[in-house]
Amino acid sequence: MAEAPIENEAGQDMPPLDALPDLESESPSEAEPAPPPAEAGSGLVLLHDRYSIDTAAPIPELDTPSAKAYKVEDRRDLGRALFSLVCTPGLPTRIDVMDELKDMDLKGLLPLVEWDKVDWPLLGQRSMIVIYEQPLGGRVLAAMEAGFFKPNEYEFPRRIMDPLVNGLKNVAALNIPHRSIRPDNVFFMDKDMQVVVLGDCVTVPPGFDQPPLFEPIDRSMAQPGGRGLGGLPEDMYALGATFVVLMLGYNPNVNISEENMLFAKMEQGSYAAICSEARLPVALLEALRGMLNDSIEDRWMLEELTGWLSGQKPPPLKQVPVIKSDFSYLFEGHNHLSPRTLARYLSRHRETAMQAIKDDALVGWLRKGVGEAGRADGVRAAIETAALHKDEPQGSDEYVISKVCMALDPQAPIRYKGLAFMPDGFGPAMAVELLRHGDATVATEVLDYEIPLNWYAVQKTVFAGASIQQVEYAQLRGHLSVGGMGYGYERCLYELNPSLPCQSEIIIKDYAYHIDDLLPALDAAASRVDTKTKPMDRHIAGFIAARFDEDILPHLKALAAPNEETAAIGMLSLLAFLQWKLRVPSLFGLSSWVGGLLGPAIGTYHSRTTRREIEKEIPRLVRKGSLPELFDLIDNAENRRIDAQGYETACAEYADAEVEIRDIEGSGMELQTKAENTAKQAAAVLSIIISMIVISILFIAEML
Amino acid sequence: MATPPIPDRDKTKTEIPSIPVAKTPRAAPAPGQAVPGQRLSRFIWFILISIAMVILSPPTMMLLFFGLLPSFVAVIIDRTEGKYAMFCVLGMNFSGVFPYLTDVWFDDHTIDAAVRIMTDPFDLMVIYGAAAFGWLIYVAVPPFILTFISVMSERRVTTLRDNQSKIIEEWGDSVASVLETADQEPAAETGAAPSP
Repeated sequence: MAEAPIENEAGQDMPPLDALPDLESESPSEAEPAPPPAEAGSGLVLLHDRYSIDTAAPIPELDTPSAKAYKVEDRRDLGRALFSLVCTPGLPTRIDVMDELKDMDLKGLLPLVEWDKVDWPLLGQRSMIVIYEQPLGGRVLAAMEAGFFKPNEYEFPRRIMDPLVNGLKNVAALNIPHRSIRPDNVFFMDKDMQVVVLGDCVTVPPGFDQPPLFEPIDRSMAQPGGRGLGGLPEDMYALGATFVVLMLGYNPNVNISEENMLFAKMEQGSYAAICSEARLPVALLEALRGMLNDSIEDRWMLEELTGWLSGQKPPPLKQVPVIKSDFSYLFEGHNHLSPRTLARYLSRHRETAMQAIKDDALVGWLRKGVGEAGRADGVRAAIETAALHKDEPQGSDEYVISKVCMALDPQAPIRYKGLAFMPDGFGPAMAVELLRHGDATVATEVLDYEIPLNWYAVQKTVFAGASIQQVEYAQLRGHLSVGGMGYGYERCLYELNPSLPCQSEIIIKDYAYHIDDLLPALDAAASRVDTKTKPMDRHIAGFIAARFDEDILPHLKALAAPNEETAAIGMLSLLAFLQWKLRVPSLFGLSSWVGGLLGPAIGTYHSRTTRREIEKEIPRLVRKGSLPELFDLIDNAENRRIDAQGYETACAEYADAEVEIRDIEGSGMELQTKAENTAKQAAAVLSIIISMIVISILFIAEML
Repeated sequence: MATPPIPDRDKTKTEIPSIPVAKTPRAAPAPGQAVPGQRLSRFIWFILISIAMVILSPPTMMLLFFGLLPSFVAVIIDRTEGKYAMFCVLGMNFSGVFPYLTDVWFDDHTIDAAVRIMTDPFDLMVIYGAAAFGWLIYVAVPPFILTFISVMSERRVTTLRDNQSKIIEEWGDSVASVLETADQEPAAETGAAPSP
């Protein structure tokens, strides 16, 4: 469930995994209320030296399912009522939206005052904090439930619908999907309960906290993390469902399970499923029918709703009939009339799904009952293709089930091995998968086996961005196929989630989500981690590769080298390049850390004198905190050339000496014979010289 | 500063210097050793010159023949390649004969004079004594030379070993392993050769 309080994890090292919804979880709205916070430590946390967040002053009534609320004081304006939301570390946030909405006083929207990461003592690590102006009137739904506020059908459009439509219009004008429109995220800004606004939408991935009731059928089938960015049509749908609850003051479907509600939506249509149990004013029905239309093309958008609110006659509503069979198909105890419900069931009962898929009755049902020969052919083709790839992943049961589900329900999310995500929600889905299970094997397989391509292949209509998404998937697969550091699923994770902080164990507490944060985080980590480990792992390399805009391919190649010394030089060169390019000032801790790991790199020099000189020089550069200078010392091209030349010369000198020694020493008798010959030769020469001297003297004497 | 470059590992690799390997010398006659045809030719020339000398100066030839008998013996008994014993004896023997040759050439160029010299025990003692001194040189000098050469060689080897140690100390053991690699290659080639 999503509402586990993050305080419960106070003092723990890891992000609160339990705080995240399960893959096929119940909706946050229907989950149990959050237990009271554990003993919260008291203390003030300062943001930008201005906003003082009181960790001892939680505001549970303003909590969101994934973020806890705390009281905030503006030191420059003490009368200003503010509150902060502390995001769940490890969950991607919508930083781009935070940037857009900050200091924008948009009508109908909770004003976002400030955001940044701060050290959050209750979690024992850094976390993203978003500060909003405090809605003084509290939640609209809470006021309704308490009986303080009960608009009638005539007041409802003016008091509730109009401001929320304005709010949605304002965010839509910025080209930002809100994706968190639900009854408990609508607030009164003033104590008089006159100004209604939409609440937070930035602390979690799009649609993450949304109960399935407030998501269109397709996106509600995806896991919370995989619901995707969506757009205005999804917001309009959520707004329609929110209006139903706010009009009544309660959820009319509270007794229906999420799964039954989803089935009802698929078999009857969303409008009928949501509104059938409610006594809604007739005047609102037309607008609700338009907003809850399951066909995106025919769903009311802002123009239609604004026109309706201003009293204009709306265009006639089109209702696309739900595809149903004349007779049911029994699977896992449920009589299915719609191929959509069957696809949902197949994906949730994978252990028996293959039996049904291979059963001719399914194809017969699709042809004769549903009257969809195309879907029957799709099922048949999936089985036949799998037979051709018998010993390959494309022939596995899971792959076939995934393809058959797509054939039966092309609009549904991509489903594979229990992972369900919309194509534009793969990034957050992968992040949540990693956060929950500690690995992303299933998500990796999705990319590796090109499962999203199957989804695009079965789409009957082309939608905006489809080709871009396919190109992105191809790029991700490329990253995945390279095994070295800076690639793999880690690279995909950071490419897909621009706001996800680096998940390396070394710096996870520092919440480094921007490339500028990385080196300071590593610098700080130097004092708390075992400096025998490297300040580089697959997460850090993938993070740099995804977030750093410079060409670091040569650095990554060196980093991925199998030999220790090249990898050490690659690590130093990459970190040095970062420090130099990002103009990061002195990094004393990191320099010292890296300096202690350069043994193998120094060992690449042959000359011991050079090694000693480098080792002597390192402490001086460490004191300067300069990685580029450290790199220049370790891998100076001129020094390398001199060392290589010196080594060659030394080898030649050694070999020459050895040859001469062998020549002198010879072997055994050969040496003795050689010396004797030389000695005898010398004796002969001596004899002849003496002879010549004697002869010369005698001859001269004779002549005289 | 410039962009920190990435080290090209290949650049740091040191090429293994080639080590001179002794080649098997081609089979050739040892220096100073004449082939049989040449030896015969030399012998014929020697006979002809001797005959000519006997005709031109019989006393000289007589003195040389009898005076250089130790040298002829040395030529016969010295079977070594360089004939160092012959050179030792011949050199000193000729020094002993030479004073009497000058007597014959410049004072009394007759057979009688030559016979007189060759029959005088003192003269013979001088001539053969000189030859004996040649033998003495041949026997006594080489051990001294040998000792000297040995000391010089050991000193040179010690110097070279010291240099090698310094090289290893500075550049590491891999400097020596380069030589070992070069040594192993010919050995491997030999080992790989098929046995007859």
